[in-house]
Amino acid sequence: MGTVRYYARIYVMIVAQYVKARMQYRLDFFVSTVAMLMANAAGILFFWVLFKTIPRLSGWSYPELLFVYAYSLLSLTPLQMFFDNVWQLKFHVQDGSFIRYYLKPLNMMFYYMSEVFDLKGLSHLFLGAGAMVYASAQLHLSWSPGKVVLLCLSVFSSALVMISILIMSASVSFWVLNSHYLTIFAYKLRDFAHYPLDVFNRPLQVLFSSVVPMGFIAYYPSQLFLRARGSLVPIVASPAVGVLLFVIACGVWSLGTRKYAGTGS
Amino acid sequence: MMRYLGVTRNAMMCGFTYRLQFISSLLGNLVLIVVTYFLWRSIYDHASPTLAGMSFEQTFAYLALAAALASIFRTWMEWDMSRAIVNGSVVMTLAKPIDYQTYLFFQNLGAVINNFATLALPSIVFVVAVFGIHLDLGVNIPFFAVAVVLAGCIAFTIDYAVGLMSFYTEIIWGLSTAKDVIVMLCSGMVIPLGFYPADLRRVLEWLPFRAIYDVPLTILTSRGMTVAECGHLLGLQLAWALAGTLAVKMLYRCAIRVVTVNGG
Repeated sequence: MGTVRYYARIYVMIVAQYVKARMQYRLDFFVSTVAMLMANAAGILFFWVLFKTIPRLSGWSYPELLFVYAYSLLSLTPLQMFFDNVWQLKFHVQDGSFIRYYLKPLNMMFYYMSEVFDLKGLSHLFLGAGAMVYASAQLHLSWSPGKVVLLCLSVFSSALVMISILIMSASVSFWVLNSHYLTIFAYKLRDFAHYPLDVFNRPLQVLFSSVVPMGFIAYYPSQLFLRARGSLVPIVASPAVGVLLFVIACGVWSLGTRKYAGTGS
Repeated sequence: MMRYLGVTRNAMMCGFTYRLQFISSLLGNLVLIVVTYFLWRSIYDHASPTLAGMSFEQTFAYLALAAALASIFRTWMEWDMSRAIVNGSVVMTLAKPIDYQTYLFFQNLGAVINNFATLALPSIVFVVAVFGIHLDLGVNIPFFAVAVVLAGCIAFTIDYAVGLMSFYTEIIWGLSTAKDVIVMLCSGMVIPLGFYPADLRRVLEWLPFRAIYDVPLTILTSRGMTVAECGHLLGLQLAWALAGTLAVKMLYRCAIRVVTVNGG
């Protein structure tokens, strides 16, 4: 417990410094927040336009898809807010500044990720929560306290899926210097988390449930709350998948940091 | 002119140093096309054979080619511009006896040629080989080629304008993301404009963004386009390209005054 308090205190201190530094670019902060909101709303607009023409998408109604989309926004919030520094890893590794993370008596991933705290990630949270409330009302879902707790737990685990995928892809830069495009590719896959997996054919469904487990960001876990389709196994297993992936990602990260030798300057 | 072509050659050579980038970008593009295929296949299978006046073949050809075009036009130019502002290297370019916009245009051309050869061409070959594209091709091919060139000019102008705006904000992420979203939604890049409700479509027809994706793709995928109709669409693109060029020239005059570079 003492460790947790120690880390929480340090986190607040580092973030406070970061916020001060960011205040230098106030105009950018405003533009970025608006842009982030727009990017997230664009996905909703896509479905809205589509459902003007068709009544159902592979058996899914508009509010059901909206629910899945809202779930995916919620589960991408922690990645955006607390792990955004993952994008800079390549640059730190290339110019050697990554070496300083070895020099503090802190968990390296914690120290590294704590250096960026992205407030605009809150736009995911607000838009996601808003869309979920709207979709639940349309679908007449009843939310008991138990279900809300389940939602929090499952969102926590789903959040770890994308976090782990990005950490692993960024960690490649410890071995191969230019891994940025791998990270961009991995991040692009996130877009497919918004669609119901059952529009794809069998091989792709298997792919998105195993090698690139995008299905666990929103599609499977959101069915804990909607009526379930197909096999129950991935739906029930979904809360464990994120945690498992995160353990693997931490392993890859620490292997990478042990391998990294700096740039010699 | 020759010195500008040298810039293009340089940009192409620079691009070739990052081979891993090609592979992952190409892979990303192919995955996007496959997902587009299944998504729309499923949309059409559960609805009628024609939606918004387009068959599945037309819609898929439209969107797959939109993905190919998008991979050509994506050169991250505005990111390079903002990086040059933040680290100060922009003064090296501004001090040279060349026009900044022309310089960037030819540098961008190098990246565009690279993208065409390494991303768009393989993507199109993949689509034709795996899914097949069933279109009435003929007189619309030369019109399509001209439309793509004009679309590229308009896309460049928009990217350049966003890059210039980073002279004010210094950081590009927000501006570039906002631009990407607006272009994506208003141009027909992810959903053919025919699918939009009529009122919304009327608004979009007055905006420049459709000239980037919707115009060339409509020319290629619509059945029975007359020469006059194609000519009209090309004229629209030309008008936007000229208006855009004028607008960014004025923006440059304002933006160049705020450039501040600390020390050296």
